[in-house]
This record gives sequence, structure tokens and C-alpha cells, in this order.
Amino acid sequence: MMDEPLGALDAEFRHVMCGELRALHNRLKATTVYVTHDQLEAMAMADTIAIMNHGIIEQLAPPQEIYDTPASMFVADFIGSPPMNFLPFRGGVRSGATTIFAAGTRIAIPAAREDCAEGELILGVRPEHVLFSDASKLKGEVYGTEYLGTTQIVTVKSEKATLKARLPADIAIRIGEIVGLDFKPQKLSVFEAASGRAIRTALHEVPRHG
Amino acid sequence: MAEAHLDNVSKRFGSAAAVAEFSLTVGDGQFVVLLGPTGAGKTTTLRLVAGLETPDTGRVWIGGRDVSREPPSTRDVAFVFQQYSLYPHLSVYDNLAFPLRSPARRLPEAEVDRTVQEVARLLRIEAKLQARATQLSGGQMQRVAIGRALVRRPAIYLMDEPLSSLDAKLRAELRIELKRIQLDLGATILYVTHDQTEAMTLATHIGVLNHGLLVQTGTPREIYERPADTYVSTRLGSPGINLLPRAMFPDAPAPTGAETIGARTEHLRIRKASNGAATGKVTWIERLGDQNHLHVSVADRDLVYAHGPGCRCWGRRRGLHRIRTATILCRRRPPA
Repeated sequence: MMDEPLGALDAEFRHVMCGELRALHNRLKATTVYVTHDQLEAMAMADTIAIMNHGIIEQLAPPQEIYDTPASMFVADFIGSPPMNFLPFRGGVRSGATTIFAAGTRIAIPAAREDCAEGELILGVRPEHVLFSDASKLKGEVYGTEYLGTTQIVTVKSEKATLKARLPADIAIRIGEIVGLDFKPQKLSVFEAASGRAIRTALHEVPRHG
Repeated sequence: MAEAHLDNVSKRFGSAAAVAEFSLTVGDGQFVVLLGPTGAGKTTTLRLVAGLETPDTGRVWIGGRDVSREPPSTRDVAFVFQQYSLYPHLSVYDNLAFPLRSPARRLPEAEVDRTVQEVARLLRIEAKLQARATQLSGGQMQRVAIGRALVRRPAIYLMDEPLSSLDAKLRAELRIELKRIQLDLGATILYVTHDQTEAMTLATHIGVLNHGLLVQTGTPREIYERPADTYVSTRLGSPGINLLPRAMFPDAPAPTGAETIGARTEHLRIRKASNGAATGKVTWIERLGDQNHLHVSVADRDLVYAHGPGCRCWGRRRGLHRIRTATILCRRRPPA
């Protein structure tokens, strides 16, 4: 049982210790329950993560599954850096639907597998699934860029929401530039705004290995 | 705003040299970040510019004036400390107004009010202006501390890890705000951190420190793509650069005499083993969501390779894979 054993260390050393602790766990063939508020530690070390909120386990799954198919907005926001983008829209989803209408444009989503009554919904997009496309009707203004070496994070303010995109570092982008935004359709999540619950779609049926 | 310049400055504490023969220019409107581990001399450098320390040798220039022997009060600098040192008995408003009401400035109260409101809006703490400083959360207190520097228009802002005590989400948020504010004001900032993400995202120029020496200065891209030595190369990049013996890459176009090859993850290509060449074993996969870090053991060396999330097929099983290099950074080992 470990209770935030690395919490007090600086980022660099914490990362080294993550590797060491996991190697130790493997060597001892140990069973470990580990508590942390650091999502990177959880993602880097765990076989299974339990995401807790107000005493309730919101999702229990392997790291990649939690990242790809968050069960709720809380999970989606908690895991990932920068976190998942949320684009609010009003509408309903019928089982089998493959598009939604948000921010004045039709957006393709993984085929819905359940009905959801008309109401406030949220489209969830990971930063690496945001693409720049001049053809898109969803426009926004570049608010800031953050160079990270391999990639860069571009913050775009659109009418409905502020979105962050993770793009390769070699694309030149100016602050104040107006860009069109597109999303990778097979990767999107849809949530109910009130409960935060994810709506079941084809995204939840991707076969998983290892 | 003005230019600041350290000219061959040295400072010792007892027998320990905190900074040695340190020369750095912070150009007008530049955001210069000093990056280095604890004890590298970052904070001492800031304190030398502020006048909280006096140099043993060398000179400090601010706005074309030699201020080496001047007290902090006449240097026209604003300092943000790591620990938000607010006046606990004052409201947020009065904390922000304090520097403007100092006898040295004596601004008209209408002017004070206008400036305080503007800075509060910039840092999104308008709703908290009447609260006591002690009633705020850590993130709000730190924003007030930054705001207390921003109400003035000094020659240079000095910031000592102002975001390090905040939680990860707030830190990311304030990072982009701070950069935005700096661009809007055209502010000159000298900023100290050990966080490479802050350095990369905030700086117009980074200065990398090691044991009191300024090892390299350049834009974030220059430091990342053309590090001056192996030490600098390990300071930036996530996952960190792989420093590997020259012999592992017989085909790499390295100059003669090169002993170490620095290969960042984007310079490596990993393929399933077919025949010969360097053969590695995937010993551990860190699944970070947006990317997976593959820990590969090759000839008793460990290297880390970031792969997009679409590599589930690699699984947990250990496989044999061939490693091919694309572009490679070549560095001679720096003199010991």
C-alpha cells in the first residue's frame, strides 16, 4: 500500500522513481495499491486505475482505456495533459446516429449505441484529435502557442469554447490567426452535460489487446 | 521597459561559488527564462539583478545604467517571490495598491484604482478584491503576488518560480495567461524555473545553468534542436534524450572523435525485428494516453521511445525489435 510516496519530489526525479517503483513491483511480483493525485504517475505505473471523485469510483479500467473512452467528464478532464476539450451543444442523439450538430456545423462522431433525449450535451475532443483545416466551418482565433520540442500546444478561442490542439512542432502558427478546426471523428466522446456521463458509441467497441 | 545586462558577474557565499563569470543580456521586451536544477545559481542571479545581493566582481546594468552599487529601491525592478509574500492584514485591493501608494511614487488615488482594476481583470481576481489576502486559495494568492508586480511598469520584472507552488491545472492555465500578458505589455521579464515545460513555453530565450555557469543561451527551439553539450541536451525534452555510444550507430553521419550520440525520440525509428542490426527488447511500456513511452533495452543500454497511441499490438509481451535511426544529433562529450 502506497500513499503518494512521490508527492514531495520534483518532476524529474518523480519520473525516475516511477520507473524504479514499477521495476521493483515487477521484480518482486508484488501486489500494489497506490494512491496519487498525479495523473501521470497513475498512467505511467498502473495496470488498472480507479478514478475516484467524492468517494465514488467513476471508472475502473486500464490506463489506455481510461484515456480513450472516459466514462464521465470528470475522468476525461482529470486524465490527460492538457485535458480533454469540451464543446457544449444542444441536441439529442439517436442510436445509430453518426453525426451531431454543434457550433454551427455538422460533426461526425462514432456511431451512437444508445438513445439520448434532446438536451444539453458535450462533445469531448482530446487535443491530439484536433486538426486544422481551412475548409471547416468551425473557426477560432489562435490565443497562444506553447512549444514543447516534439509537439506544440495551440490554444484556440472559438465562439463556444476554448480548445487546445496538440500539433507537430514544425507547423508555424501565429497568434491572432483565424483557423478552421476539424476533429478525428472515430475518437470523439459525447457526454450528457447534467450528469457528465458518457453516451455509449462505437468508440466503446474498439477491440483491446494487452 | 528596458534592457538588463549582467557583465561577467561572480558571487561567492563562503567557499561556494554561486555564480561564476556570468554574462547575460535580457533585451527590451524579451522573456528570458533561467533553467537549471536546485542550486544552479538561478535565484542568486535574480537577486543580483534586483540588488538583494551585490556582486563580488562584474557589473549589473539596467536601462543602460550601471546599478551594481545601487540599492534595490532605485533600480526600478519588480520581484515576484516563490512564496507569495502578501500582507496578511490587508485586502487584495490594498495589497495590489500598496506599491503604487508608496511615498516614492504617490500616485493620485484615481490612477491607483484604475491600475488595480485593470490588473485584477487581467489576472481574473476582480471578484476577490475586497477579500483578505489570507482568505484566498494558493492559486489566488499567487495571482495577487504576480499582480502586485504587474501594477507597476518597472524596467524589468524578476520572477522566481512563481508558478511552482500551484497545482498542475492552474499552473498550465497561468502559464498561458502570463505569456499573453507579457506580449500585451511588451514586458521585459527575467524568470527562474526548474520546470522545462515552463521554460519551453514561456521563454523568448532560455539560459541553461549548471553549477553557477551559464552553459547555453538561445531560443527554446535552438536549445532543443542544437544543444551545446550533453548536459543541456538532457534538460529539455520529454521523454528525455537518449545518450548512446557512437558504436551503436555505425551508419550515423557523426564527425570523427564523436563518442556519444544524442537521439531524441523523434530521431529514432523502431521496427519489428527482421534481421541483424541493433536488436532491442521492449522491457516496459508507459501508457500516457496521448503517447506511449517504450523502454527498450539494446546491448545493455536503455533507451526511451515515444510512440503514438496506435501501437496496442505491442502488448505487454516482450518482443525483439530492430532499431533504425533517422536523424541523429551528434555531440562530442564535453571536456570533463
